[in-house]
Amino acid sequence: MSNDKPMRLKLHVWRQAGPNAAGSMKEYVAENVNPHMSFLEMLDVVNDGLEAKGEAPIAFDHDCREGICGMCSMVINGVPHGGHKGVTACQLHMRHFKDGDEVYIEPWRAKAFPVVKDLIVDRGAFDRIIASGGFVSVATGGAPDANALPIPKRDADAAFDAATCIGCGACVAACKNASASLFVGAKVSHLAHVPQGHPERAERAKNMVAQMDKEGFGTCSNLSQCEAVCPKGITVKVIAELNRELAKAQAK
Amino acid sequence: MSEATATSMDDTLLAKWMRFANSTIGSKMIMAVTGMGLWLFLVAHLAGNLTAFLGKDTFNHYAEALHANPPLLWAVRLALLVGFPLHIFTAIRCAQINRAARPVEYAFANKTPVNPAATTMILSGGVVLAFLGYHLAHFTWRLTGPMPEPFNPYDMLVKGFQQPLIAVFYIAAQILLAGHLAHGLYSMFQHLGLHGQRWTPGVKKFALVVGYGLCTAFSAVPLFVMLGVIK
Ligand code: HEM
Ligand code: FES
Repeated sequence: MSNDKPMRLKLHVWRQAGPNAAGSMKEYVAENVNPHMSFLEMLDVVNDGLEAKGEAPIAFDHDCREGICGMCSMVINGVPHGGHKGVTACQLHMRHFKDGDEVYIEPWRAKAFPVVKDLIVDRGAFDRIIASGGFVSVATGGAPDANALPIPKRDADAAFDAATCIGCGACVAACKNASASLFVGAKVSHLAHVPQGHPERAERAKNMVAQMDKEGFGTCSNLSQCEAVCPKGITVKVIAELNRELAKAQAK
Repeated sequence: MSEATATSMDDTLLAKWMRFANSTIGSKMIMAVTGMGLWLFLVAHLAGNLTAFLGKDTFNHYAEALHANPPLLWAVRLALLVGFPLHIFTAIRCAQINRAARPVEYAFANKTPVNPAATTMILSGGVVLAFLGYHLAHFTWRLTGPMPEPFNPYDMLVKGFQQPLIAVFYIAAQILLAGHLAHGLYSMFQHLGLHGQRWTPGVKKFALVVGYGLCTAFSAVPLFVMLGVIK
């Protein structure tokens, strides 16, 4: 039988009433934390307590709570998503903590991700980068046969690996330079590996990089902090691919 | 009319490359290419230094041969005079972009694991720059350090490194340079888009061995002068 003993944790949480309000770290005590809870469920319980006292609950982003949507976004003890391999904050379980632990919870920090409230940041910059990539040429009409467009297994695998990006932004949050290279690399790599992405390939790389720079993300110093925290295990290979795609687009 | 078309085409081509050079990724490619040039220079420089182990005559002969070939000497100097400032200027520009990209720091330190040599490139680079100034003042302009009478390059080197302070300073600068070069060599591959699942781990190890190896070899000359092997 696993250890079900409830824990008591001391939380330090970033509280900020709005985009232009001054924020600060506030202390809370989380009582009766069940080790089977997820990190977000632990926060739900803390929020129930705050509301019961008439205080404003801690605002945080979440949606699927099963590690696929990329909404949850918090830096836990200095590491985005808490630093367990392949795990988003919503999938992080409280069994990784010990009774009496102190836990620091902060929003993603980047100029391009302004704080909306408490732990919620505006990740519209990612949406604008995606939009700048433009459309993908597809043949409309009846659904083609599955094998009508042969794609080598290696390319299909590479495209799928890159396509697992859920756009959570942990890469930016972890990077000392707040660089979005892993995210943009994943998006560019994904479409560069499949024939559907070829007609707009060069323009896409140029436009997405231009938008990335315009949003105010930092430069890549090959620190690999992004790779260390990516819940989907995307590697810095996609950054090298992004660099290559941009160089090829430039030479055209 | 045709003239106007030609200039506007030049304009767009120039504009296209300026935009590239200004982009974060283009900037890092400039770092990579100038870094590669600096690497090549250091390897050639080291080969020259190591002739000190072959004795006074060989070393002086090498120094003489180098200066007897002004086209080569000036080609290298010119490349360095363009490449080095470009490397430094781009480094500073990137550092500014990076600082601006995170205006509010984490209250609890960023604990995502990272290689310290990689995060201190500006610092190690700055120390190398300071060292370079001293190094030029010492061996190229001969403004400082003990000079032999009558002058010859070998005795200048030996007399210089027989001062422990000078020798230790040279070796210390090499240790910092090693970290810069090791991360720089791996980084160069990434920035130029060269990555392979199978061989990138090898590149990382190679960069460590070559980066630290090069600096160990550079340090060997002052070290062996201190030990009295080169005299
Ligand atoms: C003197 C002052 C120098 C400064 C301020 C400087 C600064 C930097 C910085 C900040 C980077 C990191 C770029 C990044 O964030 O990824 C870098 C990269 C590099 N540096 Fe230097 N550096 C200097 C000297 C040198 C020297 C003497 C060499 C000689 C070999 C060198 C070789 C490299 C290489 C190969 C890279 C990798 C380029 C890349 O990132 O692709 N640097 N330098
Ligand atoms: S809430 Fe969807 S990934 Fe965490």
